[in-house]
Amino acid sequence: MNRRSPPALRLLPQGLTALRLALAPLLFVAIVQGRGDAAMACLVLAMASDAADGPLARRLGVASRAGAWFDVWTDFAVIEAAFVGFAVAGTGPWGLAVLTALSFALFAGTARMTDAIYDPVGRYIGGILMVAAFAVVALRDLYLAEAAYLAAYGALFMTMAARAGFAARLLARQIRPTAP
Amino acid sequence: MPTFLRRILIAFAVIILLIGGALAWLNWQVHRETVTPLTTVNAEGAAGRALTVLSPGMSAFPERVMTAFVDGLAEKGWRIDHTTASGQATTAIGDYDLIVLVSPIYGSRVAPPLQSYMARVGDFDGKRIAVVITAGGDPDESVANTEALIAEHNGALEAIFGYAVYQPNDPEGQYEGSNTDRAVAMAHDAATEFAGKLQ
Repeated sequence: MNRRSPPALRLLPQGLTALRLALAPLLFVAIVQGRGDAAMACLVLAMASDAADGPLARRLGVASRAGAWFDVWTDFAVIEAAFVGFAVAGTGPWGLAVLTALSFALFAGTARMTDAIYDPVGRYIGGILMVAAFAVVALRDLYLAEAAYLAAYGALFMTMAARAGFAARLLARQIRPTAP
Repeated sequence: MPTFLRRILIAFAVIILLIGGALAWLNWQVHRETVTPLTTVNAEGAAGRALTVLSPGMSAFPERVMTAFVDGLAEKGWRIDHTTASGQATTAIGDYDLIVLVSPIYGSRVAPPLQSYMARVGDFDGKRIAVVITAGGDPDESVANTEALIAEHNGALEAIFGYAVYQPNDPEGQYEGSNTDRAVAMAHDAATEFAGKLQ
């Protein structure tokens, strides 16, 4: 498929991303209200939409930088909704919500440095964090929930370290004096 | 060994090390005992004397539930001594009319510090026991294990009150707030009702 695809079809990737964004407040409410089944359904839909929107945009020939940014911030909204929900419910650490916000701030601050928005580590972080949140509401065991939180912490620290290193290398290259 | 393979092996070793370290930390957290002094709520209470022993776990939820339960007992005129499950918690339970054990559920069992406390007490000598548990999913799934634990230590189980995190505690919608807020309010009301039955 390409640019000759029907206009309605060409809007499908953005529509999937928008659907994911609409799921964020529902996910938050489901977690705070202890509706684990509804939270699971929201996360399954979010993960399916996250897996489908990018490849679909490329297949339809409508992939764009704006679309990629929409995808990134929608992932952030879903993940933040989950971790803030766990914290508001008093069962998850606020640290994860704060670290997620910091991680995405670092990502947003450094993504303008290159043509490609994603880096090799960061492109998987959204999926890893969604799976961690899904594990918490699906397994419903307090010990396994703590293990999932720990995995999310690990993933966030890893992606932040990778992003910081990536930004530092770029800055060093820019300020290095050039030979006359 | 080719450089690529060496890097893969190093990355694999680092990941295994990180996972192992994280699991060891988690295990330590679950087994860690919290020491607190014995404090008394409603010292003038004459309806009965209760000892509550809390294993706080890794979130604030079990402690919130326990505080609400203690408040409910106090409102009904009970004197409550409170402590946390540790090697320093009192095992002299002879003067109490009721023992309240509060714990999160990990893998269908109460937290290890509370199990250790019960092992230290050994024989509860038929003492009346109420258990308040907080679980991720359905608390009923851990009832059998909890009943067996109380029976093993010769306690007279009066009631088990279970509250969930990821399953609605209040399907009838009688309370307000988040699911955990509702659990806290329900624990308070359960305690007042329970205290009424004991009198």
